[in-house]
Amino acid sequence: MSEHITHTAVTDDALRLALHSPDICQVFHGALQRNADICRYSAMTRSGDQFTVKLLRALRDQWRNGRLDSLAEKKLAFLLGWRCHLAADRTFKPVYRILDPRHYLKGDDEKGEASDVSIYHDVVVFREVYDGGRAEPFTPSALDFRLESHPASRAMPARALQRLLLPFWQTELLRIHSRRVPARFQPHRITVLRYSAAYHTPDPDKMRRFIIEPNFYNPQDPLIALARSLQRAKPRRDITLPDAVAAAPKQSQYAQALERAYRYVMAASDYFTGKIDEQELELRCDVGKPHVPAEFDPRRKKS
Amino acid sequence: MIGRRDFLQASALWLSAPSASVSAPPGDLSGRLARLIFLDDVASLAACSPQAPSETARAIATRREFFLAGALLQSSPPDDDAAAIAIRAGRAAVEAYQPLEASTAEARIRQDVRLLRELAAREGAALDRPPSHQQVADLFETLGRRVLIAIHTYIPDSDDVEGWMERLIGLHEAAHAYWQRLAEAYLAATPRRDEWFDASEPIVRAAAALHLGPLDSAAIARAISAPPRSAYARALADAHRRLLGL
Repeated sequence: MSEHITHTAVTDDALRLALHSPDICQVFHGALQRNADICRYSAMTRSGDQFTVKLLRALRDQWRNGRLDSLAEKKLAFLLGWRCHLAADRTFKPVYRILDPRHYLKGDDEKGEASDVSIYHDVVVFREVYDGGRAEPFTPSALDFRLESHPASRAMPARALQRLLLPFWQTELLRIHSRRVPARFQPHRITVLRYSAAYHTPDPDKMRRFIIEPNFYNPQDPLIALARSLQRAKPRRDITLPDAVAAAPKQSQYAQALERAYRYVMAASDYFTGKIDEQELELRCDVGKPHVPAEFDPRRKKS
Repeated sequence: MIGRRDFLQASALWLSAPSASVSAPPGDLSGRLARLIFLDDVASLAACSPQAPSETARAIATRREFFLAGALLQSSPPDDDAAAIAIRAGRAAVEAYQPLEASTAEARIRQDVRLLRELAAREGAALDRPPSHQQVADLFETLGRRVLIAIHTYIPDSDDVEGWMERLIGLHEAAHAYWQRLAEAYLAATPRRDEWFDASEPIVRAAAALHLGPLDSAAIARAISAPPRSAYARALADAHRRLLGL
């Protein structure tokens, strides 16, 4: 499992780069400018390979026959966030299995608890990309133990609300399904207290093994540096996007994920404007390619 | 104040029986938190009730998410008897709540806020230096963001993925609007005892206390059997009674 904050950040950064790029079509620019919040949550949607190409085809056909209305633009933004989810998964799922294989003995769709690798990734991203929660869409109290630093927590029943908001979302997410079967019930997968502990009292050995030694995040990588400068609305003129994209596959893991996400968005844009066909789109988006190479997947390794 | 007419004009807003119909985009979420607060109180009572069948009490305590959020499920998870009981118990509790739920969105927001202020009182929260409306709304958003961390990924509706995508977009928009309305109403409210809710009633006090720690069995039994006066206390007692017969 790669995690919420990292998925959100890879998507946020890839879409910043897309908005900065003259190579991404204008219809994408418009959809992303108006719907950044949608991309941020669609970036946590699974099963993207199964659905996104078909849905993108429908939107492209609609666009060719006229213009995209507000709902169609929102759906386009949703799909781009969804594709970026896959870029993070394809980068980080093998990393988790290399660094902490005991969590993944049952294969790709593990049911057990998330590895600390993924949680340490998330808290580092929270600090580096979201400035400890001072940048949208997070808040500085997001990883508190009990929301104690939130300015409204003293006046609100924060403890009870922590207990109630999970079933609130579980109920509402189940309600929007056409079949309300147990497989559609959103389980509680990770306790946020593990995030609080990793963020406020990080284990130095886990930091060394999961973050520093594998080169998880390097703010000096040009693609990351460009994304940070765009986030602060001060674009670095000394970094060209094509050069930064070309260098990223040999740089930090986060830069690799970002390059992959940007590449997926570029492929979607090229498909939308007719530069490439659907087969080429699937190829460039790695559709159908396993997230985890066989050597790190115990089920496929056995066979 | 919640008027008698509001809670007598109970509507079938909640799908107490599981339905296979495709949902429309959720336009209005008012009342959802009040219902959950009620279910949470039922859970705290039932899990410690000396009268509740031990199997039911255990299922509610150990499979709480199915009790609180599983009432809409059309079937139970395979090989999980406790979850099946918790889902049935959740449906029974929702049915007990139905007569309480106001018929208008405005009145349901007042019910949400009435119970949120009760929770705040239970936790000793202070409004002497009230936060801004935006800060209150942000607290709900921040908690929602933590939920996204906890549930990890959205499970898409493979039978109707495009419709699901539209409904999820609608759900997020509805949630933003709900938090804004709640924040405004929360800061403006002046809660007082009325025929809808009275925090001093024994069964309400017992439910509140059991969220924090144990009570002796006799005290719980006395609280449950005390004649309820407010609509909320009557519904709590009704829900508890329904659980005995599961």
